[in-house]
Amino acid sequence: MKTRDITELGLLLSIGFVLSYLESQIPVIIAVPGMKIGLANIATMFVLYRQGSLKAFFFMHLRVLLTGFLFAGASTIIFSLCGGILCIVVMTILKRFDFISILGVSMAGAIGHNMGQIIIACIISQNIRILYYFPVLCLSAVVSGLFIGYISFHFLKLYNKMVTKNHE
Amino acid sequence: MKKIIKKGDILIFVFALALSCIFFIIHILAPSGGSVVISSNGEEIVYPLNKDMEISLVNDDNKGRNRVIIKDGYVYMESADCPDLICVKHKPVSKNGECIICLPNQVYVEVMNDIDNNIDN
Repeated sequence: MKTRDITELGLLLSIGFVLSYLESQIPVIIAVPGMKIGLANIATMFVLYRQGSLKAFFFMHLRVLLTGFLFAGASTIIFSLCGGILCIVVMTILKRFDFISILGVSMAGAIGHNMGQIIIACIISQNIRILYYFPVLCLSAVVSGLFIGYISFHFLKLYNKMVTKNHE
Repeated sequence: MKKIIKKGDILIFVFALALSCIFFIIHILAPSGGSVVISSNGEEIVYPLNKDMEISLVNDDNKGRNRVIIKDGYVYMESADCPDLICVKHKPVSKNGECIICLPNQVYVEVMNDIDNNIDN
């Protein structure tokens, strides 16, 4: 692991941290559990595209654990961890295809995240009725996934340009 | 990473929209329910939807408290002591299959149709 990679990961972790805090200050507008923008996932997308999926996997779970203990409860951590696993798996698979850009990867990741959360909610509560939330969460995942993907695309482009310029 | 929108993105987008649309259509076409199933503490109780009433629920450990109200054919959660209050913010439900879930207190309110005729007998 290069020193620059380590620095980058630490920096992105702190950025994800701040974004999580920012998001926790935004009041919930629509009353569906699990519905949120996921601003901190911009940092996750950065790690995924710059350092690969294995690091993104550990990065995401570290971030969820840290922010979970600070801003949310223990139950939120379980939900986020299970959602995160499915999210990274889906994104890793789709990233390999050339005909899918960061927008599609981000969207599918968001849907995977919400699906993982619903599945774990069904398992914990032993109740299949929670699937009732799926269409709403699927739609919200598409919207937030597009948003996060669009932001990540432009930031990544800027960042890559900056890094190569400094390197020369 | 030159073009921002590619074929696969549109495919995923359409697929996700179609998936949720199908669920929504099923949801809209659902007939009005006739009864309400409220489960808490692992036991289920069925109430008629056409009779106005208030139901107070208390968990075994005396912590989770929910008040469910049935009025004018709609069910809603009036108050709860869960931290997120998602169940209280949920809009009143009346259609078959709709439900209000309070995850922290493990309370499930679901509208069903009148299949449970054997209750009357």
